[in-house]
Amino acid sequence: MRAVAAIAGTALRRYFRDRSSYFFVFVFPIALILLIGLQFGGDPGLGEVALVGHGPRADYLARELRDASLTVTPFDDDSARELVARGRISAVVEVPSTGDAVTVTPGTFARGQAVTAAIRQAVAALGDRESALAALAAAGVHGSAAATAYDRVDDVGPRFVVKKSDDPGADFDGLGQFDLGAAQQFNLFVFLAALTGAVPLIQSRELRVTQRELTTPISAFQLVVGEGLGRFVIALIQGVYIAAGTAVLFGVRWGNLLATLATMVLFCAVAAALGVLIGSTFDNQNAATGIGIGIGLVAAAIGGSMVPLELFPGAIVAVARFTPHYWAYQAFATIQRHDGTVADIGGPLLVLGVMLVVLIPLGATLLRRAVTRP
Amino acid sequence: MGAEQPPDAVLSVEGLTKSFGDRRAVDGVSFEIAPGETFGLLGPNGAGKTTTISMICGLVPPDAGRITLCGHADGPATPQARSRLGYVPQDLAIYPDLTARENLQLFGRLQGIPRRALTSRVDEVLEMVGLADRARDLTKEYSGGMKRRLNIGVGLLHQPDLLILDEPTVGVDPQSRNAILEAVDALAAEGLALLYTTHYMEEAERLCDRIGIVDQGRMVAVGTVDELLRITGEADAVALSGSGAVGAAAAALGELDGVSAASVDGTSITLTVVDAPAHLATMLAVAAESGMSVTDVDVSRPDLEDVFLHLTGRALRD
Ligand SMILES: Nc1ncnc2c1ncn2[C@@H]1O[C@H](COP(=O)(O)OP(=O)(O)O)[C@@H](O)[C@H]1O
Ligand SMILES: [Mg+2]
Repeated sequence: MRAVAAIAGTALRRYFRDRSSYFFVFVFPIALILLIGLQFGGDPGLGEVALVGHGPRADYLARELRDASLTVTPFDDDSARELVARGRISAVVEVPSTGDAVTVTPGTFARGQAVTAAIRQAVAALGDRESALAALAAAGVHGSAAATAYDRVDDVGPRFVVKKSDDPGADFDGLGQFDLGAAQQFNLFVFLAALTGAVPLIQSRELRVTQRELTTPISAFQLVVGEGLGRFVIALIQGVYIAAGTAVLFGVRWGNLLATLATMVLFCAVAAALGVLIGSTFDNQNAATGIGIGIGLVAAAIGGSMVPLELFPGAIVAVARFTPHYWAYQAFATIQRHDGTVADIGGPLLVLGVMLVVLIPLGATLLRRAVTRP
Repeated sequence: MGAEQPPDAVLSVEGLTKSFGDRRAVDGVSFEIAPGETFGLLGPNGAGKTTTISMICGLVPPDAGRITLCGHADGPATPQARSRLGYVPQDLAIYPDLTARENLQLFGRLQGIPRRALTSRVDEVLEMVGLADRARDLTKEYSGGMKRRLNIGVGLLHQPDLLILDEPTVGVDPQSRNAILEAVDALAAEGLALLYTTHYMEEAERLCDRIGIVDQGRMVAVGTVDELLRITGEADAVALSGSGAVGAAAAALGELDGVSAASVDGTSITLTVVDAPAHLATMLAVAAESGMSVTDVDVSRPDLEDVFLHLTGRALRD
């Protein structure tokens, strides 16, 4: 245990002796914090829609949309379309003052579909109301009396909510302003950063310090755990820093603290172990860095860190199960969408734990093999 | 060979063999080291010295052979056995971005030196290798000789029973080299058992109680320097010069035991003598009795270079 701590401590000491490390641990993540915070932080609504149009129809629709937890911003012209195209807002809703069709221009995000569904429901409510008012007018009830009567009925009647199981939006139920995007970017970044931990191990091997360490009473397993532990601590510092930064500065909701922390710890540990494994396998630092970035990006892509897993076809999801990202994503989704606690994410945590238990001895075996090379 | 090895040998190696692909790097090497003994492995580059040491240290698994390390029959396989071993690799194996003290502390912890003892032991070693005043500097700022000394210090830290030094003077300036040789001498004098590899025959001759000569993976001869020198069968050449009855002295000396030839060249006599140092006093006495006053004596003995040439047909250094 003391030997493991000595190796981990040395790895950390050497890492932080290099000034640029402070940049990577504390400064560089600020960019990520801003990115995540601005994208996913703030008011936990469904998104922002631009409402083009005036009059009672527009007012009614605005009220309905707000009820569906959308942020509604009135717009006078169609510059709103440009904002949608750039992804700044989720949709544009144009309401003519007379009985013409309401037009909706949804954004290109996955969440645009959920937004569209909410808008469709609001427009349907508007249509129902106008039909009812027309019927009342035909029956001789006119003007504000008819409107008051209808709105009162609307308040007490049963509401009909359609939820389609193959609607991607349905899977996002319970999620505020798609906070899960923060978890996805967290996974992507922390994993990539941890894989670069291969480099110091290769350096130690080139310096022949690793070989010498293996002639002391310690085992290759202890050595791998020690090297991995050092890298794990760095990854966890980065991770907690990013999570805390986005939560404090931008109000990004990560959910249950203990469950989130447990997921981050295991995910960082798997990433660090994989970094050490790569460092035990490759003799060339550039090759290891390239492979690390390649693995990091591919695993992030198929593991749902770039596009939500819910949008993937089954075949890819099957492959995704081999990535730690997939399981961290499952855990974060449970924590954030369904107020999950540690008890609810036992499955994903177990899988991450199994990955760790496989990676470490494998790393030790590969390291043993590596040190006999000239 | 196994039968005659002392039961308390610090290291005993039998039939050690290792191939890398088709190349047999080490081929049936056997030797043992007694407590307090300095054993040298002398051989040219590529002879298999480092590979032999790597197997003894547990870094390279042997294809065949047996290693008994400080009484542990399975060689370096157990932590207990490895803890008795101090390893100073051929290449420096220290972190350049750590100080001397930090490097020593790391290895001290890996060796399991108790926390309280470690600080004072690190101080001791720093003193021993002459780095006490530079202990807080990063080792990348050290001279080559200082790095070498620290490299040795790391191997000594845990007071091993056997210290293995793999070509510790390669690429070192003459002054540092001398400092290292003196340090090794001092360790040997303290009674530490040493395994010392080198391709410099002077170092082997100077430091080692016994030497194994290795070439192309094989141990071609093993013994004390004198034993090895005898292998060539070449006698020493002794030249005596002076004045007086040179011819009479030559005749008398030629009759002595161990002297196989004597020739006179003006005022000097050249003799061929087996083990000249043992006969030198007698020879001088006989010369004086014969009426020659000797002013200059020159003994030239065959050296390990000649032994290597004799055994392998090639020069030790190419
Ligand atoms: N890990 C290795 N892989 C392949 N060949 C090796 C390896 N280590 C040593 N060799 C080869 O084995 C032979 C002995 O090398 P080495 O033990 O380093 O010799 P020395 O230390 O006496 O110079 C050399 O021919 C060397 O090229
Ligand atoms: Mg060598």
